[in-house]
Amino acid sequence: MTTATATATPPLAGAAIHCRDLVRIFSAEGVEVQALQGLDLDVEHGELTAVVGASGSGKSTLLSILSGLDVPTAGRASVASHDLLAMRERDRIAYRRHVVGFVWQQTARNLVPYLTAAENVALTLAAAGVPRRARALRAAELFELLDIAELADRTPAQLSGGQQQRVAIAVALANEPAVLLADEPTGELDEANSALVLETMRGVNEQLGVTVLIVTHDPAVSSHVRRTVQIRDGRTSSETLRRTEVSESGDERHVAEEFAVLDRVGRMQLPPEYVRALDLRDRVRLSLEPEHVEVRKGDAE
Amino acid sequence: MSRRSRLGIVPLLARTVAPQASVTLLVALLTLVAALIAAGVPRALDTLDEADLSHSLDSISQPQRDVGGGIVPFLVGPAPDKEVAKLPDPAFGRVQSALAAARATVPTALRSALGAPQIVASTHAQPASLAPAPATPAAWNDAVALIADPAYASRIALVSGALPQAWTVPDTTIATGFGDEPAPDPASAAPIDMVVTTGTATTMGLHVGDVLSTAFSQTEVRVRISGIVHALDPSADFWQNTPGVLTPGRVYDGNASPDLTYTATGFVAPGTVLPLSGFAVLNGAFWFPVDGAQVTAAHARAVVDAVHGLQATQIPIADTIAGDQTGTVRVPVQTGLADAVEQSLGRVSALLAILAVLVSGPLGVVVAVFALAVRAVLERRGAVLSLAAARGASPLQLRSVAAVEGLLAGVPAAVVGALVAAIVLPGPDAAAWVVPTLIGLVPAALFASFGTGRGFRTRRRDLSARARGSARWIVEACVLGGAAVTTWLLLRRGPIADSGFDALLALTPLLLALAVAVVVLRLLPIALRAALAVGRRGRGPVAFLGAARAMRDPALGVAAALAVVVGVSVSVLSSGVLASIGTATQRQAVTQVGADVSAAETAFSPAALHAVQGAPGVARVAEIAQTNRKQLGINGITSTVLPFVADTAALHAVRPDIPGDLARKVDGRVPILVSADVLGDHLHVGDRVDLNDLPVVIVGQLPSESQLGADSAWALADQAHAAVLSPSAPLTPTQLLIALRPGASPAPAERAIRATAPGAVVADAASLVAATDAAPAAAALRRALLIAAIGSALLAALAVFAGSVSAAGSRNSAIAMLRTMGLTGSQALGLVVWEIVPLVVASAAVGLALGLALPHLLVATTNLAPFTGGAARLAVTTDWPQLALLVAGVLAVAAVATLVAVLVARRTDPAGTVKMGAE
Repeated sequence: MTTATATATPPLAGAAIHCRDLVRIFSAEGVEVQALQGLDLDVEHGELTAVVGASGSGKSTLLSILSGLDVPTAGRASVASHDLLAMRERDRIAYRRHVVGFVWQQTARNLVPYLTAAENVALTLAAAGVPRRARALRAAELFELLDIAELADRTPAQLSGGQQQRVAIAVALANEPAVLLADEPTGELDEANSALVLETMRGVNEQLGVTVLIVTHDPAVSSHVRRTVQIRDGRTSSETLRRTEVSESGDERHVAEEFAVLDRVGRMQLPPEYVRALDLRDRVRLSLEPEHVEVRKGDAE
Repeated sequence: MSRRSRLGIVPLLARTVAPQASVTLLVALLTLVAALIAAGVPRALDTLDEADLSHSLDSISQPQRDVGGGIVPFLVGPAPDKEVAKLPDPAFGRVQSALAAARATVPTALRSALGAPQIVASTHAQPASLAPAPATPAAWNDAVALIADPAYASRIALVSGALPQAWTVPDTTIATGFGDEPAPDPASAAPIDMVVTTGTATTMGLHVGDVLSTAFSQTEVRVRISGIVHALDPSADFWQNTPGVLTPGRVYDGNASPDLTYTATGFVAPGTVLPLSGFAVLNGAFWFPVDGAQVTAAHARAVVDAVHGLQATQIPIADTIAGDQTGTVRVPVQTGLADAVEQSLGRVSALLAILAVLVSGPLGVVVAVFALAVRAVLERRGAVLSLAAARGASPLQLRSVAAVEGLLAGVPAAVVGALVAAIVLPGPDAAAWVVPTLIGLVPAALFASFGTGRGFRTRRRDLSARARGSARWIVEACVLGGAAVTTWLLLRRGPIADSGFDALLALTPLLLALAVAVVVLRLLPIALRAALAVGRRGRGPVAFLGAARAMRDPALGVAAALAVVVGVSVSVLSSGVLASIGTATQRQAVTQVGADVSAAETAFSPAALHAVQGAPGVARVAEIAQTNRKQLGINGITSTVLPFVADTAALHAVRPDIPGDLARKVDGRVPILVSADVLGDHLHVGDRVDLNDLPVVIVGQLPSESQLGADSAWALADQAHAAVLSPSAPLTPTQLLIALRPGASPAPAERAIRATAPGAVVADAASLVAATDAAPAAAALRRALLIAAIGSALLAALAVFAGSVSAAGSRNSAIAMLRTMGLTGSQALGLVVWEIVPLVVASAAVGLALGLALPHLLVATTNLAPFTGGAARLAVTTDWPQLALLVAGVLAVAAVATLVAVLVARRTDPAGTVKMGAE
């Protein structure tokens, strides 16, 4: 049984990812699409977090902004103390080289065809200006770490989808980024391969201490991460935290707690199932109790 | 080691490029073609204007080219005092010094081409007789003329006898009102010595020591043949300028004698001129030999201006009026030099104008295709570039890689193009290398400027469509407005002689082509929408799908439409200009000759006429006879005309411009046509006048130079009236006008004439056309037009192919997907037909219309007459069979492109396409 618990979101000094009131509006003559509508998100260093949302909820827009490929319309966003709104083009290049690494959904888009796995890693290192001698060493080291050393000399065409994504993780990690961003990394994979890729991510998170943010619409991802943030209509709506408890009898127990997210001005979203269950609509009654806040149907009496 | 070196960013990215080099090769090919043209055209033009100029100068004879004039009477005398030391000749010094001064004042451009002035003084030919008379007096009744040339000794070598002594006239005392005074008496003097050439001596039977009696201005003198000489260089300019010296002049006067008479012109000593001028009229002639090699294209205009300047100022020669008083005689100057140079300049300049028109359209297409090809290359690289950019490659790194690819594609291609041009058209001009080199760098620049990747995020196309739409309207409005304005400006301006390269004229066809391409692209969707509506109601999927795809996912875009419009229109334009110039040249030649072939002779025998009529290829022969000159007029106010007599019905068949119904009398009068020169103050069309005493009515006029005979004041009557025009003797034809069958050679007719009338002067239009076409600029124009016609048709074909290939991805996947739904092969063909054919047909149709209109614009704004050998403005003619061939070619190319596309599409594996759908 899950209880909805509201978590306040105070600004976290030195958080790996820090977003406040993030707004991104796409507009052209008379048409406006508000992809992000004041999103708040904080991810601490070394955290492994999943952002889950339905298609069109704004999660891909969020990732574009975090990876430095897109600029938010308003709000604040920083990754590893880099202010994403204040960066100039040169800063962005350095940011992409050294601060973030990413893995995309389409396995084919992560790797340059015609280049082997090792060369793909080398290309990323070369772009960052890593000396030639170090490139092969670094590639070998990463493949060893991800346990894919035997794939180093294969081209993407010779790799399965799961293998491609793991090579893509190696490429993303080539320049020792502080944050690894993944956009639907398991979107094209079967269950077994998905699990393998997600475990690889958890592995690098634990072994290298890199902060990992996975964006997905796949609820199954949640079971591989400690923290899951739900996005709805361009805003974070709820969070699920998982922890493992050991009972007095010595049994391990996985506990998942879902929290609603309360923003700085006190807004929060009620889970849709609650709204449906009580048939809440239009107006609700709020009352402050000593320990909690009550929400009742507006026309209850 | 090798492994490490392979891990640099450039080699790594280069390896991603290599497997997709096909489009890069297209860029290289385009660069090569552009460099070839940029290197070749200036070289070709550079040699062309020189070649055309020297051709133009060579096409006129040396005396025509020389700058000369006549001094009548010749001004005998020494140079003014201060120049005596330099030019001591007592007889020629005055003219010599004047000519030297004139030469010194002309601008350098002309002066460097002018040689030292040549002067001769000669008498008119006078009847002479051998004295003492030979045994057979009838044998010698010829004429003699004397000529003096200060430099004659250097032109001849003595064969026998001696060079002439200067003639001296002893004074005789004659009585005047003031008493007896001594005066020269030529009659009592010794004979005048003269030398004749071997040609003259042989023809006229003259020998050293023969003495001829003659009279100049009623003063009887004797002339003695002191020697016989031969010319050191018979081909020299001098002999051409003094006809009748090397070989005796011939005169035919049927009234005086049935035989030819000759005139012996012999050199006298220069000093003879002084006493001779005392009683005989001497004609002076002078000329500056023109060295054609010194007239170069670079200062051709300056030469023309200098000639015109000299003709305006004339040459001043000091003249003694009476006693010590001196005046100045201004002598006019004649030369064909300026006309020849101007004709060449006109040709080259018109050629430039036409070339610019021919090139501008295709150049626009090449630029469009170039941009498309570069974009296609980068589109293919896009994914890799974007990924590299997202992974942290800086724009500089990406641009460098793209630039390297551009350099590899462009520089070798440009070098090859420039080298080929240099080998084919060698020229020392270093400047000809600059433009091709710059073109070689263009791909690198374009690649580098576009080569940063698109950014990794997918664009939101739904949001940008309308923004693009309004920009498109603005651009299209600008194109249409620009086309309208430039066309209006051009038409208002009219033709400019010697305009040469004309930016306005060059730009207009491109703008017009763009404008009609825009119209096609705007109107085609409307037609397709109608087709879609029909297809929706129909049963089969092809019409519906085809129209929908053609409208919503067009395979061939602006560039392809533009290429087809430009290609077809330039092709049609070239064909039209070729046909117009060809027709006008032919017409001009026929006008100049009088018919396909014309022949003139003292009299054509019936046998000769029969032979000509029977010669192969001869369609019709018109005979023209002439009678003695008669007076045309009334009441004593008359003009002298040369009456021609011909069977006007037959003449009309050969010369449709001449009315053929003059046989019937009008109100009892003989109807005649007269030349325009005859008409004037007292003679008009419709006048009833007399021809001598024959009542005639002037029923019409024709241009004076109608080539009916060698006169400009003439009257033409039908041979039905020959008896009243020439009652004394039957008329024999002196002129034949021959019409040939279409395509027939004039050679058989000419052979027939020469065989039966060896002395006839024969001219034919075909060789005149050949001579006009032989001018290098004319030949170059024809070549350029031919290349443009074929090249732009190929360009249109290439654009259709390239457009089809670039749309292959979308088409192949669409067809593969539809095949999984059961689309048959023929239905797939139908779909591709919809994709390619409507646009090609629509573009070709408007291209054809534009191509038919453009020659009118060109003719209205450029003087093409220099290519026709005449001066008249061209009429636009169209070569319909050639046009049909061109259009059929373009449509065939569209058909082939369609077939190729569908064959490629059918080889696409449907399974692969459906699986790849996610990407």
